[in-house]
Amino acid sequence: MCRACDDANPRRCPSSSGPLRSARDRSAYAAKKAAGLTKPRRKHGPTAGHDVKGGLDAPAVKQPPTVEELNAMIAEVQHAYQGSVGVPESDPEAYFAMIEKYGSREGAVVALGTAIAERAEMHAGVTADEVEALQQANIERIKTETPEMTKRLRIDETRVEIARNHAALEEARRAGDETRAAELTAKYWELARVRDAAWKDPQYLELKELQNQAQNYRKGPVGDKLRSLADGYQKTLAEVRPMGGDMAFHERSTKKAAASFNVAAQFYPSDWIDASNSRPPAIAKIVKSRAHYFEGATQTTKKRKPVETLYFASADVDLSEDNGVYREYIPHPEKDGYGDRAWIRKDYDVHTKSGSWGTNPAAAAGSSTNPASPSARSGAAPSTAWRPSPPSASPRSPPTRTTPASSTATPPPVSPPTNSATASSQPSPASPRSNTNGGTAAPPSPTAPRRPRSTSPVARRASPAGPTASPSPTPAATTGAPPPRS
Amino acid sequence: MARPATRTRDLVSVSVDGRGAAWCDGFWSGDAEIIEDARLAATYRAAVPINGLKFEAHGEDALGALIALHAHLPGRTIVVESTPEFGALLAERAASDAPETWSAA
Repeated sequence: MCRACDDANPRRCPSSSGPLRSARDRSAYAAKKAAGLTKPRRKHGPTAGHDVKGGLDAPAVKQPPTVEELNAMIAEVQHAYQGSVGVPESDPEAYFAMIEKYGSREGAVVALGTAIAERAEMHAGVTADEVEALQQANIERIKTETPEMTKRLRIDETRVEIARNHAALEEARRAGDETRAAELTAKYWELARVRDAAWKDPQYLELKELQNQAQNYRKGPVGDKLRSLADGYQKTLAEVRPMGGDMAFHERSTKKAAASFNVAAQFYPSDWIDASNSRPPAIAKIVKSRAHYFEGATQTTKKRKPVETLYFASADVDLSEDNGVYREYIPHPEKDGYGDRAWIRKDYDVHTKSGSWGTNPAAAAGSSTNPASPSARSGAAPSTAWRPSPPSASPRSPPTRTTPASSTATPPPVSPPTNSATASSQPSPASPRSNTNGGTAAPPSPTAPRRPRSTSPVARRASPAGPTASPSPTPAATTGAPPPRS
Repeated sequence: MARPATRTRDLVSVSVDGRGAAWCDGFWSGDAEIIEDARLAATYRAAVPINGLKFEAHGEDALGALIALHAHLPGRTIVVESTPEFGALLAERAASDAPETWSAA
């Protein structure tokens, strides 16, 4: 009891009087009930003015706004907003006029959204309230008819009897009572017929279909009306703002994912899509885990590239004569020094698997007269297209040089040393050298690749320059294998 | 012995973004922010914009309280329980000095 509230009559607290308590409780109940109402007020349609008690309703609008009215309204609100927070300094009068007209910033946006919704419902031929009412009617029908249907068709009873029959059958089989088991088996088939008849009942199937439609909003009449509403909204928005476009995706995107996203992209404003396309392309994938997106992230592609090695040779040696489909020497003047010329050697890898490094584009484009290539061995006409190597060859192994003694094919015509495709594959008849395998190996021509230049100054001083002072041939050189990579 | 009949009290309530507030015979209930703004507006008799028109709020009757309940977010306030006087007041003011809008066309 609150004595401090009323000193004159301490035994009666004024807050507990009936009228005050009822007013307080009624106010609290009304506030609680109002908190559950979030539906906006509608100005036309079957529920116009009915979701609001009292007299707040403005005169009901029978016709939805036209496109010109919508555009004028959008221009007015956008001009008043000016994209700023607070009163814009450029045109405060327009801002205050908007406040006067719509009550607040939010009120202006709500009024604009309501106008767009009304025009969208005009295009759709159905209102959102009608769709909601139809869905609610279906749910009520399901709730009402499902118990009756279950009772009429004895669905629950049959299910329970089948379960009991099954338990008794298991017990009879454990007991070895075959007669009882046969009886129960026959009873099961009778129950199964009752169950199947219930499942095939037309009214039951209709109710089940209705239940499926109520759970899946994309099916049935409700789904059709929702689709009409979605199309109406898209059409209305397209009237006041360009909508849709093609998203530019990264080249490694999954086609199915990109196509699926482009369907949804038709509901985005075109300027949004253009803004997205001006950024680094996004990659679209189909993942089984949680989807994600990093704004502005750059997708990098790891492409295999030829292995590049730095070589040094004396100034009078042209390593580019050894160019071929598998390797290419490129001068690198920035690294020249100590009377030597620097070269960048690119080792290409040719095989049939995906992710191949490819071949020397310059050599492949010129001719494919390399003896190691199938076309050259078979005597076919040179082709610019790359052909797969024979299956006996290791896909990643470096090419071995063929010699006239070991090769039965017609030697290819000698081409000028500038022909990079044939220079490396032509055996030099001047000084054939026998290797340890008994065959003739690659010629020790001055065009043979050198080891990479050692970084040690001592090694560099010890290494004589010039083709005549080349170091002793290494096993790799005698077998024709490329020199070790640095 | 039957209970004596109680007087029907004026009641107004609003909903603002899912938050509710109400006034019943001098009692304010509901969301704290809405109630705070409404009581301030009623105390100082603030001019609250409703549908582009200014109305004076006060706490003497349901009409003034309903106007005061708009003071928190006028554009987003949805009237749930109202009084007939409120609709009449809006219609009167709208007919006299309402700005031209597409909805009134």
